[in-house]
Amino acid sequence: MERTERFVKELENNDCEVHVVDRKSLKENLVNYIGKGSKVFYRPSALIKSLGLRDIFELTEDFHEGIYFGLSEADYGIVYSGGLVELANTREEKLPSLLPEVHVALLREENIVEDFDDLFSRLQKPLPDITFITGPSKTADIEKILVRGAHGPRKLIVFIVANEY
Amino acid sequence: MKVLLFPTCLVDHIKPKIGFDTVKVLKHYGVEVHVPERPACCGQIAFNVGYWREARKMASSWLEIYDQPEYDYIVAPSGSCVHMIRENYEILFKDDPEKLTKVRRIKPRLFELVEFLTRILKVKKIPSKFRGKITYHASCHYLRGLGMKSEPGDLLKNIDGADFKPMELEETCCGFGGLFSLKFPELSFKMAERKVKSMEDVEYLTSADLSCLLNLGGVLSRMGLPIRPLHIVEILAEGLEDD
Amino acid sequence: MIDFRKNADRILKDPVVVNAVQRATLHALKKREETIERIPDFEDLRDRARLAKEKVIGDFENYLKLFKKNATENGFIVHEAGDAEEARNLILKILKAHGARTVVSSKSMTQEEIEINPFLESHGIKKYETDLGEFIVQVAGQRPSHITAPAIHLTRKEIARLFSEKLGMNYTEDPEEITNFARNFLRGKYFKADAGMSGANFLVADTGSFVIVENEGNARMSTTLPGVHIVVTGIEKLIPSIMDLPVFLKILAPSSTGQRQTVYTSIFSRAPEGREIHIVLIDNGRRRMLKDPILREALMCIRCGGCSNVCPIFQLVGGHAYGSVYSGPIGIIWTYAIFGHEVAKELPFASTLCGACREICPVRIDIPRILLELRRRVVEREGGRPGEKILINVWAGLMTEPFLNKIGFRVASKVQTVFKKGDKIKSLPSVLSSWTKFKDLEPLADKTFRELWKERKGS
Ligand code: SF4
Repeated sequence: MERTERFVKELENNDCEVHVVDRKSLKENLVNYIGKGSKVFYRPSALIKSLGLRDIFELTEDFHEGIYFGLSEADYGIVYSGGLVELANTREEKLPSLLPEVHVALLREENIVEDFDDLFSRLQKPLPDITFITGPSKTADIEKILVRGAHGPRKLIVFIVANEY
Repeated sequence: MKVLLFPTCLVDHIKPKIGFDTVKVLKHYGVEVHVPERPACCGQIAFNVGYWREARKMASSWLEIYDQPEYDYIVAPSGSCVHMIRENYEILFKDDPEKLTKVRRIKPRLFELVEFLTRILKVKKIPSKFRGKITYHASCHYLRGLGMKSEPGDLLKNIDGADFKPMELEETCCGFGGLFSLKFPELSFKMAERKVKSMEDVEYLTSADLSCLLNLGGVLSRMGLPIRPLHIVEILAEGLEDD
Repeated sequence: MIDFRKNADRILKDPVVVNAVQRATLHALKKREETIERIPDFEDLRDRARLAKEKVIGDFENYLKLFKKNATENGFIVHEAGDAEEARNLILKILKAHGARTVVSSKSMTQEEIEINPFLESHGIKKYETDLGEFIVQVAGQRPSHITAPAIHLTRKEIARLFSEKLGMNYTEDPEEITNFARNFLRGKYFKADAGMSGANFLVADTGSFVIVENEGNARMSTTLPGVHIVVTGIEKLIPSIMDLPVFLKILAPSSTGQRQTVYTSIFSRAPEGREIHIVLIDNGRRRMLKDPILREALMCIRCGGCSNVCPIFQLVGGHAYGSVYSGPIGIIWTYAIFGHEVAKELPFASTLCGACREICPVRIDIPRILLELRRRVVEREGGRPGEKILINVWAGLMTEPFLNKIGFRVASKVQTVFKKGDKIKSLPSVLSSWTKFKDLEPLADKTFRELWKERKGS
């Protein structure tokens, strides 16, 4: 729990909006946040499938312009950097966290690790493609003024699904 | 304790007072000071612009004069000259074992004045009678080469009548850089100007290197600003009993 | 030949650029300070990064071989190019094989080094830079002025004018709206592009992976959306192991933009079904550096830009003064090493050797030491500049011969009275005139310290 708290703080430092929720209320939270009937570009995972979101959102694995929300489950979270880790190889798997305006990421609390080393020592060779995501897309290329959503999401919302004891 | 003083070429020829003030401070702490008769330059002005042959000539002569084992220490009132000898002589003489031996013999006994005062004599406070508002410029080779960061400021702060006011760009290069200032006068000036503009409400500018002070002082004078450059030893020696 | 002095003097006359560069560099430095305060083992990380790079440099060909083998097993198609021309032709061949007409690309210094853009253009292939700063600079027809902030020399007004004139943007000076315009403009390109190009920050030998670090997401797009991806990278980007990567990730962003971590770090370790990923490994002088006992250290550079940010000269004039894709203190060394003596022989002197670069460099490259060596080489090859050579020889004579010293000092202190105004010298003739152009000189003393000392002793 203490680790989770530190992780949340680091995420917030990196400009993420973070909610720690329990498994039971996750779906309700998502519905409230995204809104019933919204189109959602998503990357399937066991957790997401188990939520039964099909009846609530218009889920798709095919992106087209105009889809506002991306939904994916991050494979890990790293306390050190305050970021998420995606293990994804195909274009379809990689894009939900990149193309939409808002990226909603789920992360199971048990997948929070302390540091990069903890992650690499868990992974087997051959490695999958790994993407570290540390906040919303950003630029400061015009007069050093920070602008969010340079090319990728303008917002990164993280729902940490608390461990059940 | 016997010290051989290396006044440095600039002090020797431009500001002899700094040499006498150095002697004054050393004597105050009971040090016996000797000054060689021959002129000497550490050679950095040549070395730094790529003229290593000429630098070697000056460095060889310097070694001849200062390699005198009967003296406990060699002290110089200049961070950059000490840095030159300490860091670069071994590069300069890397193929000359005889000179290398000399360099290595001298290195552990060679100190810049404030370094010598604070690290060898363990001086924390000097009974200087100096009065006025001082700011300090950390010369590059002194700060980053010899690692003299807090010592000069600490000594200045501990002078009872002095008002020490650190400047914002204390650690930024003044733009002198030896022949750099001849090769890139405009740029060199802008660097000095930027530094000068960051000094506020002070009467004196001090440093452990005369070269920087001549550069910044020259710009202050040209700009007509009423800030007087003084070598740090001129401040430390103020009001100390002369022999 | 790159004329640093001329470039610098021109830039110094433009207060807008000087201010912008200063603001940007100081901002990054401040953020760096704040960030590393929260990394207690930062010094240790620097040592470890240095060690990892030393390992690579000490056994370079083996690490490269290992990388190539593993990368090939990962499904990447690995190429090697000896020089820029070979690299350009290789890239063109790959693009042609895919019938590519448009290419999207993320930031890569190496691509600029081999001047790929005009080359592709001349073969009818349009390449879009997608990093916002690079895109702005491309539209302006200029060169990046800073390694991590390519467009710092341009104001929002200038960018607004540029975009509305050249790209038809509805005029706005709001950075957010300008960014949005570029976002939408480039979105269209990503989806239509036939190929994507990128650089790489690291090549990992033991896993055959390549790593790209960025903030905007444009590199992720350029490497993911088009059907073929070409990585253009220098061979010096090698690191031994994936277990070394954390160390580098922990020092790179803080030293660079001052962030704890960049927004996106992508580690590519396999080529997906049906998609080609080419890695073009470029030598272009790097092996020559490797064989050079002094220059090889510069190969450790991870291109964080920290040395530029902290350099008091760069802070005033920015990257354009260096006249090369590689700017700032380390850029001088790279430009000399890659583009050669004739092009770069003035550059090594564009430093006061103040050592701030060495102090900040995350892999502890002794930049001033390398600059000193380059100066030595330049003087040796060119025989020195006439005026300068005389000056230094006269000085060396005066400082080593007591008799000359005495006479010379006498004469000079007499002569100087001609130039003295009050207690200062305000102007000098000939070579020395630039010394008095902007400042007053302190005259020589009436007697040397040694003379006075002797007199006092005698009395
Ligand atoms: S030399 Fe060092 S500080 Fe400069 S860019 Fe390279 S790694 Fe960064």
